Amino acid sequence: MKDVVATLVHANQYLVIGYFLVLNTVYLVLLALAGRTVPRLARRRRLTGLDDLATSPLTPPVSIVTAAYNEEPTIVESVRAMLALRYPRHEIVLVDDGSRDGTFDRLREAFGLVPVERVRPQEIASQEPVRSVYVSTHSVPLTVVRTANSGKADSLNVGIDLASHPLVCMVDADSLLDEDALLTLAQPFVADPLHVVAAGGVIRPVNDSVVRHGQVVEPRIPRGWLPRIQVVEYLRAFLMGRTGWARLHGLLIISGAFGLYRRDVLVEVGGMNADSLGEDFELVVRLHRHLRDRRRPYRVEFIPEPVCWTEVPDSAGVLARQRRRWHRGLYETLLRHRRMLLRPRYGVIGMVAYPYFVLFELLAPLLEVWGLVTVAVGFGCGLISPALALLFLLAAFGYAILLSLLALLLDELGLHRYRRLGDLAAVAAAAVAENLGYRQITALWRLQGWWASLRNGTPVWGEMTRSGFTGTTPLDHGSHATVPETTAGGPRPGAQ
Amino acid sequence: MRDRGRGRTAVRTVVQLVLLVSVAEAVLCLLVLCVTRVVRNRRERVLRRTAATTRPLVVEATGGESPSARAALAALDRRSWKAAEPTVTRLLSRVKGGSHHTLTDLLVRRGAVDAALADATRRRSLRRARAATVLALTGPSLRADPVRGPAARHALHALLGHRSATVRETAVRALGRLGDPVSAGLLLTALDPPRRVAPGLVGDALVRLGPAAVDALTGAAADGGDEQHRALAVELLGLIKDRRALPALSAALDDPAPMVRAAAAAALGRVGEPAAVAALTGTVRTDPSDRVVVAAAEALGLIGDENAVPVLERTVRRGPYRPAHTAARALLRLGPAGRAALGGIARGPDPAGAHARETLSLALGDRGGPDR
Repeated sequence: MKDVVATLVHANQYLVIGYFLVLNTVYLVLLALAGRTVPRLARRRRLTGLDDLATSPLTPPVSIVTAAYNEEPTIVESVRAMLALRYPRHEIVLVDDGSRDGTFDRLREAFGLVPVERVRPQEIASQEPVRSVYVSTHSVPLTVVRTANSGKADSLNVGIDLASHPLVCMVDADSLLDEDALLTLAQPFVADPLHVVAAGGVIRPVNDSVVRHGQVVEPRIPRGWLPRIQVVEYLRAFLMGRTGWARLHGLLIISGAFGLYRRDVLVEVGGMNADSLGEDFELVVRLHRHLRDRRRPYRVEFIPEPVCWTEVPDSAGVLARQRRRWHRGLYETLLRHRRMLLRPRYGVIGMVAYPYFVLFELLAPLLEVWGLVTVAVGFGCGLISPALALLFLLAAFGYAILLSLLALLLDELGLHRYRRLGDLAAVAAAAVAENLGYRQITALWRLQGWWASLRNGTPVWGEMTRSGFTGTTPLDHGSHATVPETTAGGPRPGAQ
Repeated sequence: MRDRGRGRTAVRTVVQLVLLVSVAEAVLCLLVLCVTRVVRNRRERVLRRTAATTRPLVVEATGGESPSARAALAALDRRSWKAAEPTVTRLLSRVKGGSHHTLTDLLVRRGAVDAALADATRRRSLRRARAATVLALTGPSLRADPVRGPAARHALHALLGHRSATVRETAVRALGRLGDPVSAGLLLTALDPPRRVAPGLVGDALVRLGPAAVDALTGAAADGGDEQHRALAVELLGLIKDRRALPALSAALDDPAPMVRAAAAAALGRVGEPAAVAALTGTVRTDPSDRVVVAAAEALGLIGDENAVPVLERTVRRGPYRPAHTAARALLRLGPAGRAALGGIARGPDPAGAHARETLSLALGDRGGPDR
């Protein structure tokens, strides 16, 4: 029996170490690809001719579609910021997803909303009917749609259906965009209007940054350790991960907080999947599948420069719910589209990106927890040398910290958004702290989300409280956006 | 046993190597980060301080009434000019007329334009692209320069065929701003593979050339290769709004490609020519493509001729969503006859009635009332 356990423990060692080496090699490849793209884009920043694009009659008009639920403290400022974006022609279609606070009242006061009759094209189906539609009497291109509460994805479908322009930009209601973010993201569509179907930008945590009139005037690193570590995560995920995947033409996800799409293609694929918890990920996977099934040439782009700022959770409870939801959404999407896996007809998506997401995103928390368990068992049976185990732990941490610092260096060399030396030091410290419990606990939460899906449990988004973007002062510590709760097919539960 | 021992040694070696390399590179990374940030912060502080003193000079010089400010800027030392230059280039892209001439003249006196002309033939793509950007910014004023104008045009023409997409794009933008009619034909060739430039950029440059581009565009509209090129040519003719293009636009209404017919209809609407109403009415009535019908209906609304009321009314009553929706909006622009038609439709059954009521409520600015 002891021999069997010993063999299993040793075999597991090779499995874990091998997995670790392969995973981090993939990260290094992505980083190398991103390392070529980000500085090149930065050098060419002043050559992109955004001023011409901002005034050109040929720049395609955009409908910014956003769904709001209980966003009373920040909604007016967010809408004003969206209206103030530098772009020749754009409109805002805001869907009030059955808010129970003063979200709509604030909008009505601020923009002089009046009800109008509106005929829906019905090109994209939605679960809940539209209750009423309002337009602004202040000569701003704002349409507000009120529906019964049905969740973010369904609300976005209503907004896409009512959008007037050929490009649709989906933005979270609690997000803040850089002034030129929309212009920068529209560039691929100007360059190749027939083939580019979707483009994504970077998301960064806005916690404790200085916000003035809906614009982030001074990005700062959050004071709390939880959001600070998320800055590191987001840097790796966006600057390294998505830039690298886009270079390989294998981008499988565009963040729901900021993505630009061709409306006609969204209509073709039926819009967002209202039953999915990872609706942004599921949409892009479905786009790939739809277009490759029809053998149509297309491109999905990622631009590392245009930034969307969003609040990230700074309490463990909210973060846990988010990570459970994300992992559950990841699993359900990968399961739904599993026929793409290792199928040559899906090109890089099916042969490289999809297997990566299965092996190194979906299974990663399982391997991490499994590794910890077998180390504990090995210790208990005296089969693992403490010295080797410690060495491996240090190597794993060291490698992970190195990747984070490289992503930070990429940001500094290419984009340098964080000006203060103290902020860089804080991010570097967070890159170390991430490995001292944060990764381990988030692995557990992700597994819980996966387990909940396997048990077919009820998905719960959870609710965060929001205090608003205040003048020139940093955001209040501990404030968050309100996120809609949803239970599949049922009424919403009470606030948590 | 021996195998297991060897295996363990190999694992230990690999792990030690990874740890060593990771730590060393992490330390290096931190060093580079700190040094880069410190140097950058210092440079930005110096630039900000210097720019604070030079910015008022730039603003004063741009006003055009202060020769002393212009002279002071021309005589600035290298460091001060480096701080002032971003303000100058930012203003160059936003001002016109006398202010633009003043700033261009300043760049000429500082040697920036001659340096750009020289850099346009350098090896490095980035230098060529930057050179083209300077020529783009100064183009509207440079065109009048008897020496530098033609030199800039010649240099930019050569860059249109460069292997770097960025260089080609900046060259296209610069030619548009230079505004030399001779460039129209060459700009159209920038749409062709293998070294094509984004249609939107080429189109914008051609629109800037204005009437000087009409001949080249009417040729492209008639036999400009693929349908995307023909559609772009037609669209640009509509944006330039030169009546010489009307025959070409009317002919394009019969193009086999719906994309081109739609662009032609939209262009006729922009030009606003009443003589096109008959052709557009026929298009609304008979074209099989909804996209073309929508464009033609919208164009009829822009032209505003009441003779279009019957066909638009029919489209609202019988058309699918998009044509009906657009036709209703177009009727609103056709004066009392159009509104009367909408009123009649609004009293009738949905969906036509709903389209009409929606359009009328937008026009009247419907106020109050409970939520539905």
